[in-house]
Amino acid sequence: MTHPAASPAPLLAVDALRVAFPGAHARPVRAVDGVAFTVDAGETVCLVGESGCGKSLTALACLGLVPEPGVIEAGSRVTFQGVELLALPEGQRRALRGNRLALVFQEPMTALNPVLTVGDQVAEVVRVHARASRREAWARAVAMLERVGVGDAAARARQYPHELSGGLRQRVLIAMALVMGPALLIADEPTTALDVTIQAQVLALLRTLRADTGMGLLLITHDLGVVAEMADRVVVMYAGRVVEEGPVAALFAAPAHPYTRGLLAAMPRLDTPDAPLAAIPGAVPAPGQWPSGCPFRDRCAHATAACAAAEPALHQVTPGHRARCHLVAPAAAGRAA
Amino acid sequence: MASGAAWGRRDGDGVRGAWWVLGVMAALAAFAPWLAPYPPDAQLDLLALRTQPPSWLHPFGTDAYGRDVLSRVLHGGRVSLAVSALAVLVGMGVATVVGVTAAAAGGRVDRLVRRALEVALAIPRLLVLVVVAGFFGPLPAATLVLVIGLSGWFDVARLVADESAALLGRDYVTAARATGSGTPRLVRRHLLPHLVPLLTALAPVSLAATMAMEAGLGLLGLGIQPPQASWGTILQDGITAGPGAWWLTVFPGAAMLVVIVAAHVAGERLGAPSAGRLRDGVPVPQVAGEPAPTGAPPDAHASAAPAGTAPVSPSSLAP
Amino acid sequence: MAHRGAEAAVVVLVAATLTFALLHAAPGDVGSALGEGVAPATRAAVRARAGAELPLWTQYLQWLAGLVRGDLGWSTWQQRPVAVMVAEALPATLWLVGCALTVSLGVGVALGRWMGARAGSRGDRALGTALLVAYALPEFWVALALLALLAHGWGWLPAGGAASELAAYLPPGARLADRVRHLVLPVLSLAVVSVAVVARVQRSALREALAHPAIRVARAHGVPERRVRQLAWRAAWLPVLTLTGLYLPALATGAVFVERIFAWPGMGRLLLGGIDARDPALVAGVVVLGSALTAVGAACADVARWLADPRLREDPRG
Repeated sequence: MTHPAASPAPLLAVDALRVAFPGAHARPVRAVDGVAFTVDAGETVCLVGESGCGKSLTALACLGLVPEPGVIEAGSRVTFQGVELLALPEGQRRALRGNRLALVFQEPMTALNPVLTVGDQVAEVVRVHARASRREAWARAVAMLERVGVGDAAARARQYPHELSGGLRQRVLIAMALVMGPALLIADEPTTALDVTIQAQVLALLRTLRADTGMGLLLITHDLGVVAEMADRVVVMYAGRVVEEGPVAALFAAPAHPYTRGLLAAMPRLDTPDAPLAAIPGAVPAPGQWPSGCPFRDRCAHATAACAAAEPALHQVTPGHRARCHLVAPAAAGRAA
Repeated sequence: MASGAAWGRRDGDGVRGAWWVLGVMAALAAFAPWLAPYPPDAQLDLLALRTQPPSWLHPFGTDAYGRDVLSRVLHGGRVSLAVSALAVLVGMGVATVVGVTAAAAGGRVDRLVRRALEVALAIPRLLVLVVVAGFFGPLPAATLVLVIGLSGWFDVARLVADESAALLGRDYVTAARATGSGTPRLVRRHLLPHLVPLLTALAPVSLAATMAMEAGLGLLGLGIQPPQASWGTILQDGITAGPGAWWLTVFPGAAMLVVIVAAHVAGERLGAPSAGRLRDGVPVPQVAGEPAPTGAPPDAHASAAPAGTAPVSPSSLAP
Repeated sequence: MAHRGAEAAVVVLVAATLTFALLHAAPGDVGSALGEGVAPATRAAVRARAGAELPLWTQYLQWLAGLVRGDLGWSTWQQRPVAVMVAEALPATLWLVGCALTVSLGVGVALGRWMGARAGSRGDRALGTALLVAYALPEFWVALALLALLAHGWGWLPAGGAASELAAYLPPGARLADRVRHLVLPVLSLAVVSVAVVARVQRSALREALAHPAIRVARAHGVPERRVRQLAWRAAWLPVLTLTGLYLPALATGAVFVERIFAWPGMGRLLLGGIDARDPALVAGVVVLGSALTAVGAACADVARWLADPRLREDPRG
């Protein structure tokens, strides 16, 4: 599989990533199946899909943190700054996590330890990765909290998570992720649990921080509004696979995969508020219950016999824009659309 | 949930096995008069058979009065198990009535009953039993059943109240209410049948605790009175007989051990705080990446209310 | 926090009232306790002096007032104030229960942490089975087994009492060793059960804490596994405090049996002596004081939990 990325050595390159869980009758279920994409420094890539498509699992796998009893299958590759992460011993991987490579979680209400002050929790990350005294770590924590927009950070740092609002907690989580100045930040639905105003603030914060630090940002979301606002490039996932990827403008202007088209059609639009929301028929099948051939075929209006026979490859639509659909295959290109 | 328990996958087998053991012990007790080689109170030979260690003729030995210990353990089990089982029935009956009433009444009644139960649980049970059995005693077996039963139902009532409140909040109950079912009918049709699993899981643990209490009272000379055999009275004979006569404590003790452990295994499905165990059985792919929809994390909210996280369940049923 | 104190007071009052009611409903009183060959006039005089002629309500209030002043009444058995007898017996019981509690918290938490961090492993399951048995056993059973094995069988440890008869003549070091040797079996009898209780709660609390999203966050930030467990335990030891409060009544019950079996000169033995001698004041005094200490201990455990848990401290209800 080749990478379409422009720069020769991307910050993060995921290739042939497969995550499997033991299923019924000793048949493993692949929740992530052959995912490949790249993130460059200073770039924002959005990983989009409905819940259950494997996008969060992909994010965790990038850090080597697949929840038990899942396993990352052999042959999967996650290359970060030229280092093969999955081949590293756990100790070295641990030293990278939270340091060069950080993750912001999606549950700000619960992802903080309830019996520690938030300052302690940010300082903990500093103390794990830097040879810092308690006092220095605390000072860096407070400075970072200030930086992510926690007002009166010195006092807030002494408070416990339950004393803070959801927006502030998400800022604390972002501070934990950023306190070591990572090269790549993975943010998994960082705004879903927040109300709209706070969402906008957190997204603006992430944009500013990315611009200031030049880090790469892998943003995982199901919200195409967030995608439109944040992304340079978009990776759409369905049933554990990448079904389409491309620059945000191209993808929004000319979505090539029927699933992406369905997602975009289901998106409420400001310009034509009265247009009915087209929804994709059917529901996301559970992992392990995907149909043969193209996993999207039983919800796809364009499905043909070919779709049941073989799973399509990622075909190029335009340079840098690819879709996993028989309709965009070179042979079918003439017939499509 | 086929296998949602803490101590491993083969718990289903363990629970079934434990019920079997309980059944066998109950059968041994029930058929004691036919199984026991001697009458339990017969003083066989006051001189030759006084406090004799186990032998072929008397596999469990004899006591200070020349009585056959095997026969006494069998008959004693009959008494101990019968007293405990009846006391559990009494206690669980009262607990169900109180718990369901509290949950069905709701509001202030519910709060008041729960407070009262908390107070009752905070008084050491044995102290009250000792006063009653000591000053009104010696109590006849029937009274003993009542006294033991009526002093040990508070934690069961609390669990029943919790479960009932949860059941009454279910959609089908609301639906039934909407169609005009009165509270008595709701309780009879929608509540009591659903309490059965809870009660059957609590019953063996409650039985173990009650049996321990009965034997304990016997041991203190406040329960079943000699010469009537019960596991408690045999243990008491063992203590008074002194150091040498180990068979007087070992055999009734072993019989108790079997019943108590089997009962706890049988009730273990409900054992210690259960929040962790649901997770064990959850089919994995759903929890893999996306947040599991199974509600709040355990300690964020639950433990904010000490009474709620209380390790209700077998631990508090212990004497 | 005030309401926790009030709750403890209610517990004591209920226990006192129940004891009073039971003892007065029981057959016999000071008069009949004198025996048969006593002149009716004497009997009446004794009854009058004991206040038995007064209305029940007045007796109850007088008795309660006495309790508040620390006057637990007059023991008909030993013909001296109950308060004095209780004061003699109390330290032995506190010593016994205190040691048992310390051991069970220390060992129970350690075992629970070990198991919780390795949930599902072979060691966890083996220990879990052993603890289930220990947890199911009544204290007196454990006491009898230990007595039979360690004291009577192998003769390693003394079978009863708090000290040897000649302990007073031993040099200080040997006297201390003697005390400790007498303490081992009674403490062990109580602790075997309560270690199991504590360990099981600690195990499941730690498992819950390790499943908390914050733990995933810590791992994602590269916190080492040892430290992750430590952070999880910071939340997971709090339920143990709550448990301790709830477990105290059961521990008091266990102590009565253990004192009986090991002839430990504490409150439990005093209570049983009072029952044998049909000494209502003594029994009432021990029951009320026992309930009060249990209730106060439980309240202290709750207050400690409240102080230790930042989430509860916020609750204005306290």
